Amino acid sequence: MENNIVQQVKNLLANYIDIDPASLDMEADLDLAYEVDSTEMTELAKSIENEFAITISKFERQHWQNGNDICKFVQSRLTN
Amino acid sequence: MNTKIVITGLGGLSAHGHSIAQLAQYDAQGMSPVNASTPYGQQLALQHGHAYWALQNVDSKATLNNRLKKKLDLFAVYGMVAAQQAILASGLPADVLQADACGIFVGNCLGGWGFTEPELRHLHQRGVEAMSAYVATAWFPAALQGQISLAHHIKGYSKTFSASNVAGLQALGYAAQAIRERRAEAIVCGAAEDLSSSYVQAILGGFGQRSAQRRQHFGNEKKTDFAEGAAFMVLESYPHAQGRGAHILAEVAAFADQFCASRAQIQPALQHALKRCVLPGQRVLLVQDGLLEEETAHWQAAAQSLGVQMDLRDTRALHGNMFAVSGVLEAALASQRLGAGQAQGYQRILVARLSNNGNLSVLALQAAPSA
Repeated sequence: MENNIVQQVKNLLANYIDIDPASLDMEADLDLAYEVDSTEMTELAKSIENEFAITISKFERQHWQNGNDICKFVQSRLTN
Repeated sequence: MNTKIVITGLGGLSAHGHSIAQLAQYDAQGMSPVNASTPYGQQLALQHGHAYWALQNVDSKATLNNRLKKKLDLFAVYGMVAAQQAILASGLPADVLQADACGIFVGNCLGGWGFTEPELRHLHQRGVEAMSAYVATAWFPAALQGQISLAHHIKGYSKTFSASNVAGLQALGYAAQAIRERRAEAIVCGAAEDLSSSYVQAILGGFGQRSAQRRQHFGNEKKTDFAEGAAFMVLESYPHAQGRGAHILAEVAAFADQFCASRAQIQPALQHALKRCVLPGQRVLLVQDGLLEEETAHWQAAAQSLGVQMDLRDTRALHGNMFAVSGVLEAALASQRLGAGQAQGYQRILVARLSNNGNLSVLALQAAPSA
């Protein structure tokens, strides 16, 4: 399940940023490496909400720095 | 100051071609479409027997990436594609585009309902949190001006016009005026419309049903296919274009923008526009869209009263009702003809648009100045 979540988040991120999923660095800072601004982060959070049927508050997503942060958040939300 | 204004680049797309060369070929045939489908678009049915020509297979990959495309309405996508065609054709170098002396003038009437309509549905069904954060920047008519500015780093004097089917011609005419007044040396100008949203299509399907309640300065509106698309051109001051060795297609000779508050003002307004756009003794071609029943008669009467030798060309069957794009596409095609030396003995080609609210714009084009 964990691998599936990582792959799903990776695909979502890569699709949003418009790059090949294989070249997406999940450790890279989303703002500095991929220029994801706060409005895009809002849109991205909405895609993640739809994909995993969860809700994400503004407070929760403000701690996301990179792809792995998003994966950890989704995993914790789905296991709790 | 009498700076000459010249046209150095063209771009355009409609259901009949995705470049000015393809559209010029279609336009030169002078026939209304035979088939309901082309490689570039297709005719779709609307309510009450109306129809519209939708674009299809528009290749925007060279203009913008999918990440940006998701934030835009299709009218902005079409406009960006046509604007890029015009910029590339003009050969305007990046340092000129990015200087303060380059601006953007755009016409758009219908805004970005294709993007906004589903978001409004989200608002009503799931609440404001479900709406895209990009609604505001995708919907408003000046969105295209902003996106062209961002894409090409253009930061000079810029405007967006929204005035029925004269908005595009106003964008061209006021761009020429801005260059003449030295507010800019070059301006990327044109118009774009997208008709794909069900909201816009519902309005178009009801066209004519409400006309009795509207002002009728130029008579009833003839039943005409609607069409989406975009057309752009690059205008420059002649010394600027000449200085960089640009290929000059045609010259903007004059522009008239009038308003008739009542039917009694129609003839004085039309005559004023003709006096401004035609020199004594010139033989001219006036290109109109012919959407309104009385426009031909009004133009003929105005020309006759002034003794102007004027032939009329009606593009209604060819290009349909393109809203703000109307007039810009014809001006681009006329520039192409003038650039190719195919003016057919006319000293000037006038592109004219009228709206039943009383707006009237005329752009006069002529062959490029001889060096």
